[in-house]
Amino acid sequence: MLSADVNSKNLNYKLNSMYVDLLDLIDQYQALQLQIKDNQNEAFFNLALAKLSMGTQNSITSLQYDKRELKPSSVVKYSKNSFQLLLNAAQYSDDEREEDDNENLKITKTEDSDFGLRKRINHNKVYLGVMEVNDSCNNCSSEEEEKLKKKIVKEKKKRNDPLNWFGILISNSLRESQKEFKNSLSLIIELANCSLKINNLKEEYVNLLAEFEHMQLK
Amino acid sequence: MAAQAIAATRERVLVAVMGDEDTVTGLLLSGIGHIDSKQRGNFLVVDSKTPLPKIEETFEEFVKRRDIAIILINQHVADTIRELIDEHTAAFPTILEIPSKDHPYDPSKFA
Repeated sequence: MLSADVNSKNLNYKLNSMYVDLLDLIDQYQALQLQIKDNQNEAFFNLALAKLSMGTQNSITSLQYDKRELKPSSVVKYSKNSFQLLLNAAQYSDDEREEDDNENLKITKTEDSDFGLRKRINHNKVYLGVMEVNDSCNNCSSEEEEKLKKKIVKEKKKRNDPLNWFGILISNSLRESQKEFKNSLSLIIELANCSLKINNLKEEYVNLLAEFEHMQLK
Repeated sequence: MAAQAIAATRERVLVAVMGDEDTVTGLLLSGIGHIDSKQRGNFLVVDSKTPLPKIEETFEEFVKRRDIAIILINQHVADTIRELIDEHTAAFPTILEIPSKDHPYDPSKFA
């Protein structure tokens, strides 16, 4: 009887403590949301400035998105009950061909009739523009081929930067906006971690409350 | 079983986004955009002309995908599919409502 009373008091204490922790986490969540809002206000402001400075109304819209295969440079990793943001995630690939692409790079010689055309070979081989292949490559040494391969890999990475979707001359406002959105993404990941903690704690609290009520009924 | 669960969470690396054009553009600029070889993307631009079934279908698709860890959705878009969001109780993908340019965050809608 006495031990049941003690157990009940302990449970009650645990419940109260959990409830306070839950309220703290909710406060944290709300604070993060406000931070994200402030951060995004800056980012949206710079985006609007970029739209103005780049001249036309339609310079920065969804019509400019590159809808060919796109690899993310920012991904998340879930470990130890939390998300971590990985920026510049060059290692991410959704199929193994990405690695094969770089290993099996072949420098192909173009004929004169192909000059001036952008030749897109299938995605298992290399994408070469006019700049990379020229007459001097007919007698490429292995060193030069290596340099060319590195340049091509660099071009591919550049293609993955969404900033390049919106033209060649990118306004500073757009770059600033990109920085702000990257900061915003870090805050969003913190928000996701906070949300996970809230959900876990809520579940624990509900289970403990059920146990407490069951004990009270006895 | 536990090993399978751990392996499943490791596959989840992408952040999906559903929102207005500026929100999606901004988050794509931050580098989360992904389109696979089957032309499946992890983002949806929602405007006044986007039909509700399209939003619902995209949300359900994102929830079913095994490579998406987090779904970001503007609060005003989330309001249109509130029932679907409330039905989703699994830990993954984690659904987060974020403010948009024209609809600031409303703490009273925090559930």
